Amino acid sequence: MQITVTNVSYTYMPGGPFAVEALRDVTVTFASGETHAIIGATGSGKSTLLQLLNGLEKPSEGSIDAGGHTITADSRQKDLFDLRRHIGMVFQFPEQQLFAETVLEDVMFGPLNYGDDRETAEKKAYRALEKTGLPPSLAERSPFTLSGGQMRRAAIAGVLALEPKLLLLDEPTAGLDPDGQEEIMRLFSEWQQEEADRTLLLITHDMNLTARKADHIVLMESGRVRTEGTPSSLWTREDLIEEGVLPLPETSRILAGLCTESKAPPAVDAFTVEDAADRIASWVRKGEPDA
Amino acid sequence: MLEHVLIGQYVPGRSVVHRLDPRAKLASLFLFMVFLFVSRELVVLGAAAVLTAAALLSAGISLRFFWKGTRLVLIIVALTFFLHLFLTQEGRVLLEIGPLAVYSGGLLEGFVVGFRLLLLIVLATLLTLTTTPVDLTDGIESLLRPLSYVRVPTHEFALMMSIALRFIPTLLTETQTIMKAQMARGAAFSRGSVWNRLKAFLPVLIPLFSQSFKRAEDLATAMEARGYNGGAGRTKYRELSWKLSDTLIFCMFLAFAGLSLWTRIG
Repeated sequence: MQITVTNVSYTYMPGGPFAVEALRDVTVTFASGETHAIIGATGSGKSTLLQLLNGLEKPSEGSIDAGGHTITADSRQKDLFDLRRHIGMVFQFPEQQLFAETVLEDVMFGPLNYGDDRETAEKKAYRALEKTGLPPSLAERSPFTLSGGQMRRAAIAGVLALEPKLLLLDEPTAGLDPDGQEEIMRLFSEWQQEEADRTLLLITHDMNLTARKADHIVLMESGRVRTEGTPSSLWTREDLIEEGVLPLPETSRILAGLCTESKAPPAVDAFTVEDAADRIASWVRKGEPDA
Repeated sequence: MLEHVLIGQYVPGRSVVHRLDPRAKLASLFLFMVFLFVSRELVVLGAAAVLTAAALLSAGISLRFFWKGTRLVLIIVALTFFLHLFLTQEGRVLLEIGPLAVYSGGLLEGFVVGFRLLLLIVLATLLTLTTTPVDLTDGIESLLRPLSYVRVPTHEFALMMSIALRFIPTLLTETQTIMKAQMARGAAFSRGSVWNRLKAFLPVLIPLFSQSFKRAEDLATAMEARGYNGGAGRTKYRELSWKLSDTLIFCMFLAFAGLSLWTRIG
């Protein structure tokens, strides 16, 4: 599902002493079937943008076009409800939103809300649980008895059960150990690759993750889009790196270190361990940059 | 909707009302509360309105912001008005709609009670808007101190209150996040019958409760980790200071109390 954001501004609590302009004139397109990463400092408007995309908040100005629906300042809740059917959203620490008596009931909540009968909802729920790697034996347990990692999976299953076309993730790996982060991201990548038009859009502070997984990166800065592009096109822009708005992923940092050491022009756009190793190997072979 | 609720919120400022001693504000509000309901003379209601308006205007808070935050409470005022309007049967009949009759006494009673409630809400909201929760607690603790001689745990009461006040905004934010998360899964809070709407809040309330218990535990641990062991022998970093302006304000409210009492007796 493609999403087009046109000249969107958003102000929290307009008119009061606590009014905050969270987004200013944002225009950006998220192409269908790709993985998009929104990065930027805390308070740069990432989460607000994410919430606008599935109509949880309405833009103060401008419009958002998502899969044939248009969201503007005066969109009606009914239309937004229809829109959300196709857009799943995983909030930060989603495990805090579990509520039902059993894991199964909790995962079925979404499908039931969108009008599925119990049988269909149950089928979808079991499918979603399987995708997240939770054994079916946990389905009848109370979600509050699960471990932290399992709770997060159960919560994610609750979103996947909606069978969305677009998945919005707000820092999906926050608070997980490295293995857990890897597993959760693998789960989402697999989900996306199952069908050609499935789109993944995530907010993250993890540059390694962004560099490896994203097809398209949007860098936010104080409520505006600072710049956007592919990982290679962004991490070759010295102005952004020098300014400190765009931290380097680990592989790039190693390559950058080697380049400075040998006074060669920086070439840091290798984001997996394999690519970085290849790059270094080729330097060694050619005898440059003096490695 | 929820982000506009003003209860328990503090708006920073340097106005006269902000700088008053919390004890002066609390005591004045208490006097106001009691004596507003003692008399129903026009003079007293007028004086109360003047006091409230003066306090509101000198607090330097945007009136639009204030109105947005209090308009939900107006439902209660309206409800009170209509209850009195229809249930009081004094004076002459002004209007008859089927089995309902509006008496002149009811109209008057509705106005008086509704107006009193409105003034009270405005002034009480103003108190929390212009006083930091810490000041408010210090004020209450200080005013209740005499009770601690009869073994009432005043410090603990004050602490409980300040913690409760402190977490109102946190709970509101959290409620909103959870509501949004459930809305993203198709929950509808504004559709269907009243019963269905109430049921729709269950998926919000349960996570909210479980989070609150967890937070309470974390807070207790954090307090103990920093050596908190109750009120005995605890000194204060910030001492309250009673100034001339506090005396003046308090005297104004005392005068109001006197006026109210005088119209009642006289």
